[in-house]
Amino acid sequence: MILGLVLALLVLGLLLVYSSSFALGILAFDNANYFVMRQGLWAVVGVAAMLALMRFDYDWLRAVSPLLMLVAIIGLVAVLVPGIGLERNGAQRWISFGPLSGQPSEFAKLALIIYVAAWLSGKETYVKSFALGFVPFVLMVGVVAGLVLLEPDTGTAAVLVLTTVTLFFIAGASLTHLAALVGIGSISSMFLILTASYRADRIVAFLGAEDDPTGIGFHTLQLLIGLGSGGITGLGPGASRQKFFYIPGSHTDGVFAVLGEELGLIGAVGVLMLFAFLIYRGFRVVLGARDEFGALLATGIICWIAYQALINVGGITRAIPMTGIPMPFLSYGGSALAALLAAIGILLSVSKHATGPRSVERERSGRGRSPTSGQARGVQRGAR
Amino acid sequence: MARSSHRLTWRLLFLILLLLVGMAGLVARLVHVQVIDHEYYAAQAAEEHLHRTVVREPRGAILDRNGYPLATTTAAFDVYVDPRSWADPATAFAGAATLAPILGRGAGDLLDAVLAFENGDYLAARAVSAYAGLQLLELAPVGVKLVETGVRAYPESDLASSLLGFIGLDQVGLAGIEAAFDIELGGVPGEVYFERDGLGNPIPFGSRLGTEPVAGGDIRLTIDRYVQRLVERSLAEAVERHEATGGSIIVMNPNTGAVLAVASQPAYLLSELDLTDEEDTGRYRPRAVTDVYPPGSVMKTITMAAAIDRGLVTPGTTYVDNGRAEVEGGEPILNWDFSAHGTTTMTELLQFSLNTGAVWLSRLLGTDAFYEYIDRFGFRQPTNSGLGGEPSALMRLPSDDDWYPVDLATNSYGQGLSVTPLHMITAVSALVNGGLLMRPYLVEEVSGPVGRRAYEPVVVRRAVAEQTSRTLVQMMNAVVDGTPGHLGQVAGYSVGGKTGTSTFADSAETVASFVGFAPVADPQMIVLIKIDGPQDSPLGGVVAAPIFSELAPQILSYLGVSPDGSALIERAP
Repeated sequence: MILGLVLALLVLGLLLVYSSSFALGILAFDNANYFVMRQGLWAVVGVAAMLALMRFDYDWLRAVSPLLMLVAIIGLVAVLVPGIGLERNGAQRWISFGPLSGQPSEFAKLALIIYVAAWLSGKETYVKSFALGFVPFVLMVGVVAGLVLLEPDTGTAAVLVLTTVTLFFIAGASLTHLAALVGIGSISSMFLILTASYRADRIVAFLGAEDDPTGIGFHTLQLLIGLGSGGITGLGPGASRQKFFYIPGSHTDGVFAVLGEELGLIGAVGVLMLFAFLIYRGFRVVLGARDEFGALLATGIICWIAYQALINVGGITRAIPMTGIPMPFLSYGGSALAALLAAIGILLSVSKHATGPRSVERERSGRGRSPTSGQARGVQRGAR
Repeated sequence: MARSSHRLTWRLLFLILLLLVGMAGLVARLVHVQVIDHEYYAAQAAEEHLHRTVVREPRGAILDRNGYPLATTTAAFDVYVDPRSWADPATAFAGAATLAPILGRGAGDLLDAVLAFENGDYLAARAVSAYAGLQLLELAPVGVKLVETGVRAYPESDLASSLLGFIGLDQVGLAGIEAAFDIELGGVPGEVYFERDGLGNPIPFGSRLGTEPVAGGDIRLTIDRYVQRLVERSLAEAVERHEATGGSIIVMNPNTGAVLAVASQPAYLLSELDLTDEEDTGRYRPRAVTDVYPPGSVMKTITMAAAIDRGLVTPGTTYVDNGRAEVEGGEPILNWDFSAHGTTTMTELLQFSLNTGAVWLSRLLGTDAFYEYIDRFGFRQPTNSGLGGEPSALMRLPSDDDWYPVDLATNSYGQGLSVTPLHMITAVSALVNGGLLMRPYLVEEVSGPVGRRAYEPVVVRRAVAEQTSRTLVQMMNAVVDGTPGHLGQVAGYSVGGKTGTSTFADSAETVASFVGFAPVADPQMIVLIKIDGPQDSPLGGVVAAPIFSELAPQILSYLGVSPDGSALIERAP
């Protein structure tokens, strides 16, 4: 079911990327298929990774998680080094691999989720401890988020922090510590907003885009015009007008506005329902997971997808200030898509190697792993 | 289910609830934006996307009578810069560095101007050449947009500037032929509403509403570029030589009314046109067609024709010139040289240009008959040449309250009334072409996508009997060729003509003029020359007639009219 949902989103995403990028492709590269071809290539890489990861028991990830984390941090440092990292639009987020280029931060999201899930599931008794739980967690997440902020990529850093804090919370962290994290997060956010004018502009645009429709408010208003002019049924597939250089990043962060313009409320809510269904199926996986590592892995992956979708659509609909976060599966961005598909592969592995309601019989008869499910139950009890 | 439910901790429930609330909030926002506010955003989208533009087909050319282009349209580009694309300093510097040298502007100035501009796209240069445009298309600097436009080019440079006129930035003719034949040249502009993208270009499958433009065509004038150049050069030299304030020369085919050349001064040069200079607007009209002057003694030919046409006199008829003519309610009228010639024939009346004789003729004709002929020769209407701004003659008529008998007397010798040079040459043409008043015309043919329209000579009416015309041709021949030392005589050709010397009523400025035609047996060319305010001599015979003498043989030989061995040649030593 999850696989079907993801493949549906993947196909829809490729169609949307094509629709929203051909004009830019022609203008910039004289090739209408420029973006969709690249996205397609990454999709193939991602699907291969997904199919591979879902076949193996996810347990091996626990062992390699420190290594993954190390690679992620090396990548995040390397991208900041001039000559290795590519600068685009004033941010250093890309490393090129031959014809393709990717964002180490997308890999880092996955690596950090695996690492934190492994770390939390191995330290069930220390989670509530300040010195052994809170401090290492803050340091770990702080280093990764800090490196991402240096690129700078506030949106990705926000998703990283939100997802890992959620894992910390689900794993049973002390509410006092969580309150402190909320405090630290709020103060850091204020600090980040006050130190960079483009972040402050986002807040100004959120509150009063109409005061400067051609300047600070332009982005916000163009997204709403696209979404709003779509109405209930939309202008028709491919018929967006706003994608013709009105919506900045119409094929990346703004792709949902193009979706809303072309397919209307029906399409926009339909896609949200696909995500809701995917998240629902994700929680079924969490609940059926064999052990806490699997449960936390699944939770992290679901939260990653859910938070990005909520923040992206929230920014586009002006429910919250805009942050530069792509829409999972739909936005142009190859490494993000590949990382997401790999994560789905892990989610499917957790699902496959579960002892939950659907698969318990198969697990018992097939591989006889019932002792581990008992262990997992114990973990949950301990966490409570 | 029992196994899974115990794992559903309150923390997990809290997370699910949080995500549910978030999702529900987004759906609510989507309904708000896409359903409740749909009309508002749809209107915003339409306002942003729909762009009204006036589209025109390329403007037709203006050609001379042989098809040589006098004004054509060549491709050009308006260059715009989108300041939004130059928000990034590195992009802006690179863009300005590429663009500035092609436009011939300083890179720094251009950069400042673009970044200071807040109302959409900055117009960096208007109508740059196609070559520069293609260079820019090749280099494609960021944020630079090219809009195709046309620019008027003048292969003959400033030739016939005031006749051709010019067009404004909106491609609408503002003066001269360009204005008078604006629709024929420019067609009918279309008004198109199209959906445009964020860079201002039409969206490929966007809707396009409105009317399509109708193309105009080329206009072939009756003007001959060679004759026009001769005439312009002669006029400029004469104005300078006589330190005159201005003047006009018209060359016409008396049999058809086709104008071969028309020049006037003061004028402007197309190459030095500056539409921002409001002081200059008075220069833009073709004065030979729009401005009136007192024709002076040239009018005596009309008075004479009327009397002969009525059968009242013949060339041999005599009257007694005692040097003055008493007029009811006015000063007595004297001859221009204060002379008295005693018994004088009608031919001598014209040769000596006697005012007293003209007054005598007008009395013989009577008021009604005189003004009837004024009407027949077309002075009381515009000549309808097709150019705008043509007036009727300025004169008092017997039906007017302020008309007095003295007006009849002065009008008979061309004072107290004002006509345009085109009026006068058209009237004299009727005298020499067999008596038909022709409508003067400047456009031979209009041809374009919608078809081809040729202008045929138009007979307005018969002004005098054919015999009258023949008589007048002989008398006017006598005036020039029969007067020893007349400066209007032409080497190799028999000619006829009449001088005029007059004074503007509202200023002391004098006008020296001459109307001449050739060859006498079958006139093919008629020329009117008028010089305003000559400083050395006021006399038409001294100032204007020599210009005819110089121009006529050049034009006649160019037109292929063989010399007819005039008496002048035979008498020459």
